[in-house]
Amino acid sequence: MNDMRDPNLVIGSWLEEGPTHLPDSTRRAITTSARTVNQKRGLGLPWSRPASAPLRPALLVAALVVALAGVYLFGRFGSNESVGPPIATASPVPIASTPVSASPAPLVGRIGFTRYDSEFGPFGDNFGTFTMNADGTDERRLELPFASDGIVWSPDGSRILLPNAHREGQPFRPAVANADGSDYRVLEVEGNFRDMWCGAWSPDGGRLLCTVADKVDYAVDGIYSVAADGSDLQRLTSDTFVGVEGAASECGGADVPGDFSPDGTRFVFLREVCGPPPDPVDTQTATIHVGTIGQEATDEITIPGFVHPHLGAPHWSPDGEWILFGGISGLIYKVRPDGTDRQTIPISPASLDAYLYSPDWSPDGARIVFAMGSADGSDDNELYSVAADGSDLQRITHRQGTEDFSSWGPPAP
Amino acid sequence: MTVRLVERARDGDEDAFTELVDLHGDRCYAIAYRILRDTERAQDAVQQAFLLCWRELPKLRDPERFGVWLHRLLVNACYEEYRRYQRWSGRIRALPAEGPAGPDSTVSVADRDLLDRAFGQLTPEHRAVFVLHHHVGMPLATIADVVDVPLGTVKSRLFHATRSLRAAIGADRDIDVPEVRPA
Repeated sequence: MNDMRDPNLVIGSWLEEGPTHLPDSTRRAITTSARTVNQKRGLGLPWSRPASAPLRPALLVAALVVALAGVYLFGRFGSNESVGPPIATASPVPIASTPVSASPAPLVGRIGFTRYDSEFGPFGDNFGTFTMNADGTDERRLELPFASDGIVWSPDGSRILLPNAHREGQPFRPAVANADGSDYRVLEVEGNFRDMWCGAWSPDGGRLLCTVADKVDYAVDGIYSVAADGSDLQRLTSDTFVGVEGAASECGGADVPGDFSPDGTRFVFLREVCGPPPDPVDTQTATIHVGTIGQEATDEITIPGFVHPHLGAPHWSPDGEWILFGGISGLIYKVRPDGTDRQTIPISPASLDAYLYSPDWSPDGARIVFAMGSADGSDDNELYSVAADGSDLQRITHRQGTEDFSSWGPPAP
Repeated sequence: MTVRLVERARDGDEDAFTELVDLHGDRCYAIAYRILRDTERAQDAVQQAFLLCWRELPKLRDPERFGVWLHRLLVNACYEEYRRYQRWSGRIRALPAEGPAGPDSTVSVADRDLLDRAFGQLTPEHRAVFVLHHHVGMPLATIADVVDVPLGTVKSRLFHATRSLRAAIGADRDIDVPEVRPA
């Protein structure tokens, strides 16, 4: 070691190392995204409040009174006592006053989700699968023969896909049913594999996007599509990252179905990559890929490690322009199908402790539904919706338990 | 010039906002990278800061304060990005830094490793003060305004950060630097 060197010079030189030019892609993402974000006007913050303005405390008190009255009235008249556990009394994430919105669009359609007895993620008892109006009212528990993790609405809202029917001792298979849970059918897809679960309908409602996973013959693993009646299985990808085993358990690395493009010619999926032994599950990462029906090659559109391997499943926007996903950072992102223009959805207010995941678009693409919980998992997670520009955050579930796997469908025909 | 741009952007002029991004983007990115030591996270922090900037600009009463205000948004975005990263992405692979300011021959590989490790032990609050002072050249009083803490706290953080880095490369061997865990 050279003791003659000037430590301040060394530190100063070290500090100057690194990039100095903001990448053009980020620059474009900022200006493009800004065009979709409404500026807040009318309410002042300390940076703009006149020194003598006494109105702010009064406004805050008034807002608090209105909010408390709303909570009271909802608790008294808005709840449905026939379903689920009692209403949770505390929000898991601090929510400031509702952002000003000039003319919020009416929330249309219904949202489906599964509720768990767990503080974080779908690891507790399955409380059931539910649907509700997009504003959180009219929650109904679906009476299903087998539990499932979430639902996916058919394009016309008349049918639902239950991704994986939990039949004790039997391999996973998808199921379909009417929107109210009636006419429930497990799809007995024939094939030389063990498990299959599905995550999306084709735009015409005729096919499903699925994953095949076999605990013995990994060579069959990958993304497949299958007709909505269980026939005509077609392979779309070959998962090249399975088969790594660790001391604690097998790695769940797999190709996980995301969504079809709106024109049905392409599909997006999550490729989970096992980490190194001895804990390949804990060190698992994921990337998002886009494929074209009928072509073997797929395009990796995110860098390794950026997407959450379990909670980041991608969804294609209704206009085909964006792919929405959950990042491992606990933020929600959108990116162009070719991998450019990745942008954070600037959801506000989201506290430092909040963790956002499992996003999905509303049928018209104007809003996003997602799950949010505290980073340390100390509170129940709840579902929220937000305008696509990140404004107008609204909490839409209030009951005890963790809600997850939300899917936003159109109004039933 | 910046004041006029800020006023126009505050009034909803998107072109003016684009010019502000062009004017301040590089500097913000350089700061964010040096606080976070990760190109992807730095890009996200800059993006978050500018989007908040655009959204909240109508509330900025004094355009002359734009620079301090933007730096505050940026530093807060870096704090947020850092804490999310710490909690949820221990396995994320940091990509190598790019750009014209590549490795400096003044810094040996061993020193660079030692400094990286020592800097990694600092809280984002210590990092921000160090970067704003030594990279940006910002006066301590201005830093206090940006990070919204008393001047004495800024001095304390700067002293601790500097001492930790000097100790890392053996410049202050006899100084026992208490270990600082990230928040």
